[in-house]
Amino acid sequence: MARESFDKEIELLRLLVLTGGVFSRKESAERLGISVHTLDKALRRLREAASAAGADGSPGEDGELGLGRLLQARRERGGDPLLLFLFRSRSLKESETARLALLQGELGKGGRTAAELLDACCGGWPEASPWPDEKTIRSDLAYLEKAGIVAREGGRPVRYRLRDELWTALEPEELRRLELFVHAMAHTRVPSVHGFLLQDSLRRLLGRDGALSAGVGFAYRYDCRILDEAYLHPLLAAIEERRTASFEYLTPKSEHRYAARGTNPLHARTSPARQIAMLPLKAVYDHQYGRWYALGFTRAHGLSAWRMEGMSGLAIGGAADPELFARKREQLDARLRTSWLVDLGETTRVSVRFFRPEGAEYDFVRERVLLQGQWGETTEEGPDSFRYDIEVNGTREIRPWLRSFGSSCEVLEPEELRQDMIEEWKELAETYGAAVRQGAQS
Amino acid sequence: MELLFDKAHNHELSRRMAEAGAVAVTGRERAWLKLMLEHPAAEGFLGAAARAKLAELLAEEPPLPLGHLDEKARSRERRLYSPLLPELAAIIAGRSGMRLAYSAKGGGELRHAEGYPYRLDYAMSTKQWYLLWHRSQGRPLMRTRLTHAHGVEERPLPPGEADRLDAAIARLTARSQEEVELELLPRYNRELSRILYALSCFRQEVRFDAAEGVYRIALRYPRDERGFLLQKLRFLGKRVRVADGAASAALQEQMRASAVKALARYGIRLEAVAEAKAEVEAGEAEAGADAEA
Repeated sequence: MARESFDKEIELLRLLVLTGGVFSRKESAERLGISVHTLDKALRRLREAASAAGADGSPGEDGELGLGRLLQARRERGGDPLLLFLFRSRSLKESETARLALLQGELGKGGRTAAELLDACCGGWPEASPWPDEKTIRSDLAYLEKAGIVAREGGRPVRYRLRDELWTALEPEELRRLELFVHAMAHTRVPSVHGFLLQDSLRRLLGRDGALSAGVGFAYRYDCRILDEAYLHPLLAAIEERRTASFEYLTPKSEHRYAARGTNPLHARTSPARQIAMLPLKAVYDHQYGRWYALGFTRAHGLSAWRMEGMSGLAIGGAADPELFARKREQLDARLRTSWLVDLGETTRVSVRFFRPEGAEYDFVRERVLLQGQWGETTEEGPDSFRYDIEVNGTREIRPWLRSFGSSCEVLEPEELRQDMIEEWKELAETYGAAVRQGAQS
Repeated sequence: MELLFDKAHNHELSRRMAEAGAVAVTGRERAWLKLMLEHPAAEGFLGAAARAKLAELLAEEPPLPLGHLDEKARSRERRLYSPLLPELAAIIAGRSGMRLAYSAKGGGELRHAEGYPYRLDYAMSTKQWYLLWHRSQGRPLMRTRLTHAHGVEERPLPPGEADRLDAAIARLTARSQEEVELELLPRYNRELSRILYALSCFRQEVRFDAAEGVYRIALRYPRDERGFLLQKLRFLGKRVRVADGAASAALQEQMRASAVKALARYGIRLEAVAEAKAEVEAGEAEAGADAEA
């Protein structure tokens, strides 16, 4: 059976979250490069999953897609891992759901043999359906064991038990603290989907009022990051096993996807999705934008980075030459050491002067430089300023961060970056100068 | 290759199991938890005894294979755990009142106040915990950094009081929301995805004006967090522009003042007459922008 793919759903959710879901069905389908029919199918699946997960909103007030505002509202309530329901949407046949639920429910009462489970299963089975046979039960148990949900106990015949030791070993208060801990870690660490799933289970155990995380939120987080984890884990496994990978890649800079097709007819000609076959070497998470990258090697392009949001149809291929893998990985690690994000180009020295805020009791500039400045070094200069020096690949990736400090930052070198910064501030002064003048006149 | 979309996570299955009082946890979730237990905050959250118990239970789990994962532009992290966190979280979950001992942001003497805590927020930008609470007397909506909170006692509320307070808080927060519209300069349309990612930590809605070829991004944020938005706007630079609108004038002026003052750092004086005034304003704007209450 073909593996159930969620590529379309992932792309659709990303579009909804990033744009607030204001596009129509037709526009959305165009932006995703799919037919309206395919979009409707994906939407239906997502709506089912979202409503099964208790995310039902008031569809009457929603846009045409019926999900955008619902997701935004969920986000604002906080606490709730916004896009998690996607990872719960793997489809199951009704009979399999019933069987697995019965089996695990029975195992939750204590250790059981396969024969005992078969009896119990038949006892709790709806009369109209055919009874599951022993072979089916054994294959279910093999699956549950492989997933780590049940374990075998010694003895003859073999007994199975539900692996619920995490809950049974803890006192109720400890369990509540564990849920809060998992909540905090899932929101601040990557990867996090497994953490959110675990938290969901803990919440079920604790009940509606038992969970401590109800009023605990994380301001300014990036929700889309959990969507890309769908590709992260297969890629990490491929790297671990030194395998190649292939996928369709639609560069996020393409005029398709979020940009309207037809704004520039030139772009409609070039079908942008490219088939990429590469040797994956590393995955990178960029905290600055909340985005994931796959880094790898191709003969045509050497070492490169692909944004996971642009990938679809990921397939893991055959084993790669281990010697090639080792060599390329070593090269990549050496280059990556001085990447602000994923720029693998030439290393430049960037020197900057940061100014202490005037009249503030607390030096929030220094605080932020120390928090976010990565491996750069600071040197004292005097009462009003300090220096920050960093060896970094190119200046393109560090530039927005430096600019975000406004007039608290002066670029000293390289000269080119200094000049660029001046030009950009001039442009901004002009843009906003005009806006402010206009505002004053009106 | 089924690493995330496992059938064990199927929603209907989880729901039925929960009804039967059973919960399934996969090996990968345990492996994730095992990794998290290594974080220095684990002991604070869980207590030494529970942490040790869990570590022992998970000792045999194979580790999550994360050796091939790098994180870039990650902030240093401090104070993910604060001793008051579980107690405050419990008061909020139980919708109780409290008596809080806290100090003002510049330090200073200890104050005590009665109030109703309604949210704990960890600011991903500053790596600080904040308590959001409704104060019984004085300015009602308070946002106190947890490092400035020194003690809390639970105070039960009369029946119905929590509902009344929640409604009042919702009214007050709605009033303090601001909405602004940004325009993406058409020559940067290709960067829309990157810009939307950068802004995705706000509530945003995107519209495309086909006639002008312009993307307009509407953002909503609490007024007292305007500073964080300004930081993001400087981060994006000339790619986006604050469009004209009711709430925009102040943002536009702050961006202008910031640019003028930044140029002064490079010895470039724009509008020499207005400069002295701009300098004062920019200083105020940026201080307001970055300083957290």
